[in-house]
Amino acid sequence: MSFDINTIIKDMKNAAVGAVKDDLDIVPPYVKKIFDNEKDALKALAEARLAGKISDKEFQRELKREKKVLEAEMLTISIISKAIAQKAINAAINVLVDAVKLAI
Amino acid sequence: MIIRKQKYNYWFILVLIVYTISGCRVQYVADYDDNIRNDIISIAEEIDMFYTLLLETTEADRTYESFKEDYLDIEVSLRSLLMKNKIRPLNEESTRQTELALELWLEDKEAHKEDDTVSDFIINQHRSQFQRIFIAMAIGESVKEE
Repeated sequence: MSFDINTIIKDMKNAAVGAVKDDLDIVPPYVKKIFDNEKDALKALAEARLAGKISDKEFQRELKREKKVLEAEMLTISIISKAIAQKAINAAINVLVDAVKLAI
Repeated sequence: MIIRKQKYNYWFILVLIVYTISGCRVQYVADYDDNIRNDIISIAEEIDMFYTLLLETTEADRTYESFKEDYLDIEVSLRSLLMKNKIRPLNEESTRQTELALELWLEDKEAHKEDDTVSDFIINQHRSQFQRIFIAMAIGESVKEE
């Protein structure tokens, strides 16, 4: 019956990091992809307007649509953040519960 | 005697901690749902097929009437996904993403109805916009805990 708090805290930290490693790796390339896509879309829009392929009304309409697309993409970052916090906390708590169960 | 009493107190606290947190699980987002993920992929395919068919049709033949049924089918699929997302607790972001997809789809439908045609440029822009939204939805669903 041993309960080494230092080892348990270390295991909790490792469990939390291990549980979210894959999700954390997703974020930087995805954020880059979002802004690369946005850049391409806005560039195409500006070029189309300058070339007269679309009217000013269409240009304004497309800008509003791009804003909505960007909002949808950013909401995924919010979901990832919440999921990361949830997985990390639950993994850490599980380690603590298992350790205390073993000790008693 | 005092040491023995402190030892009992220590174990009592540990048992209390286990009892308190063993059923404890924090939840900030909805659980992963395989059916929702499949719906996301399926509607993304429907929309991609719609734009592919639109591009294959000559601009003069891209009348609203020729594509009205497809607009309505996809609108129903999006409304169904929205309802499924709305009834899941802790699912505000996925619900809003579906609302945005539906708003864009209805705007597309109205613009097509008004102009009675769609240019290649707009088709390509809108196809790319929906791909981005559906990728965002699929990633958002896949990171949720099973």
